[in-house]
Amino acid sequence: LTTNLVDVEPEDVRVGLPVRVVFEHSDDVWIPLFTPADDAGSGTGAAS
Amino acid sequence: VSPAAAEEPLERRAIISGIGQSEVGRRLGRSEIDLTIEAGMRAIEDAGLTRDDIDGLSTYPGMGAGTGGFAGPTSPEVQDAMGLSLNWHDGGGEGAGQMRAVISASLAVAAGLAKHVLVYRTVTEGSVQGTGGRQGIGGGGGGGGGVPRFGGFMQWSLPFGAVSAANWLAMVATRRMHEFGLTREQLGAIPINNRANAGLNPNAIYREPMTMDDYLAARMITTPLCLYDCDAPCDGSTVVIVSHRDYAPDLDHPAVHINAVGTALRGRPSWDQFDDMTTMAARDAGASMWERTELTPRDVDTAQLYDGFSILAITWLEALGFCGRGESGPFVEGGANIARDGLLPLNTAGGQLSGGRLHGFGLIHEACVQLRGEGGERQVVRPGGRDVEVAAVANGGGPIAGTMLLTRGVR
Repeated sequence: LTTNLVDVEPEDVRVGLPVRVVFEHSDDVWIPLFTPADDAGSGTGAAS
Repeated sequence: VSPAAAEEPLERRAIISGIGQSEVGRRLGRSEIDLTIEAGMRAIEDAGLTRDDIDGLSTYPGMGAGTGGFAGPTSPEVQDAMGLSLNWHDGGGEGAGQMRAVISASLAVAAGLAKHVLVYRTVTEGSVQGTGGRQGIGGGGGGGGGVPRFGGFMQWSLPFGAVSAANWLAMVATRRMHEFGLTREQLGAIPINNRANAGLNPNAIYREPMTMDDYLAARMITTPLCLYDCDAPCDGSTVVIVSHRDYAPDLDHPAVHINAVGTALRGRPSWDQFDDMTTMAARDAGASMWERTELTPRDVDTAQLYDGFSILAITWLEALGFCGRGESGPFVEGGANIARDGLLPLNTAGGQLSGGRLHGFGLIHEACVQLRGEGGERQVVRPGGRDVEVAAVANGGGPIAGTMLLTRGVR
C-alpha cells in the first residue's frame, strides 16, 4: 500500500514503526493515512 | 512452460544480425524519426542488408504510450518514412520489458513470419525534459477537460506524492537497506563503475570520472536515491536487426545468437503489491530464462543490467543468479567484481546512469558490441585472453522485466 505517514517527523520514520490508520475526508472520498500508534509514543523520538 | 529436455527453445533460431545507434546526446534538437532513420540505416548496413530486405518491424512502446519524448515514433510512421514493405509488424508497451520488441521479433523469424526484422527504441526525453517536462507512461484513462484525472496504478500513488518510478523504487531501496543491510556506499558502486566505463565510450553522456565522495555529496532526489542513482534522460535511437539464424554464415562479423529469453511475470503485476518488494518481476524473468538454457550464471562473461535506477542493477544481479539473495551489496562493494577485468564486467558502455537513458536498448546494443569484440578501449577480455562468449541483458524494473542470454556463435 502506498500512503503517507502524518503527525511524525520524516527522520523519526523507520521500517517496523507501529502505526494506526486515520482517514482524511476529501470531497467524496476518505483517504487512508497512517500515524504512529499510541504505543509507539507521540512520534518524535519513536525511532531511537 | 519450460521446453522439454530435447526440445530447442524457438528463440534460439534467431540472431541479431546488425546493430545501429544514432547520435546520442542530452539536447540534440533532432526529430525522433530523424534519429530512428539514422540508427536504422546503420543497422541495416551493418547486417549487410538493404531496406528491401527488411520485411519485419517492431518497437517498444509504440502507440498510445504518452507523447513527447518517451514513446518515439510509431511503427507506421517508421514504416512509411523508411519505405518498408512488411510481412510482419508489431509494437506495444505490455510485455517482458522494453526488449519485448526484440523477443517478439525473434519468435516472428522463428515462425517464418519475417526474415529480417528491424527493431527500434527511440527517445527524445533529453530535449523534451529540457523544455518543460514530458508526459509519462502509465497514467491511465480519465480526463474530459479541466483537471486531468488519473486511472490505473497511479491513482493509488499520486495522491500520496509518489509521482514517479524514482519514488516507488526508493521504497525498494529502503526495504533492501532494512532487510539486507545494503549501504549507500554499496549502491554507489554501480554509478561509479558505470561512469568509469562511460569514460571509454565516445557516445556516453557523462564521461568525467566520479568518486565515492562525488556520489555521497550529490543531492538527494528521493531518499535514499540521490542524483547519481537516477539515469540521464537523453535523445537517441537504437536499432537491432533480428534475422533467422540461417543468415548467420552471410555476415561479415560474428553473429549474435539469442540463446534464451526470460519473460515470466509470476507475481502480482503491481509496483507496490508484489509478494517480495526486494525482487519483483526481475526474479521471475531471470528464473524463466535459466529454465530455457543449459548455460548457467557462471558461463556469463558480461552483464548489461537495467540501471534506470542503481537499485535495479542491484536487484538484477541477484535475480539472474550472479550472487545470492541479499548478497548483491557486498558483491558490488568497492567495484572490483563488476569492473571490466572483474568477475562479472557490468554495464561496460556506462549503462543508462552515465551512457544515457536509451531505455534498455543501449544495454542490448552493448551486449552485441562486446560479443562481436568491437568494444575498442572498453572491450572486455576474459581471464586467459578469452573472448566474450556469453552476455546477459536485462531490461525493466518493478513489475516490468525481460531478459536475454546472447552468445557469440552457437552454444
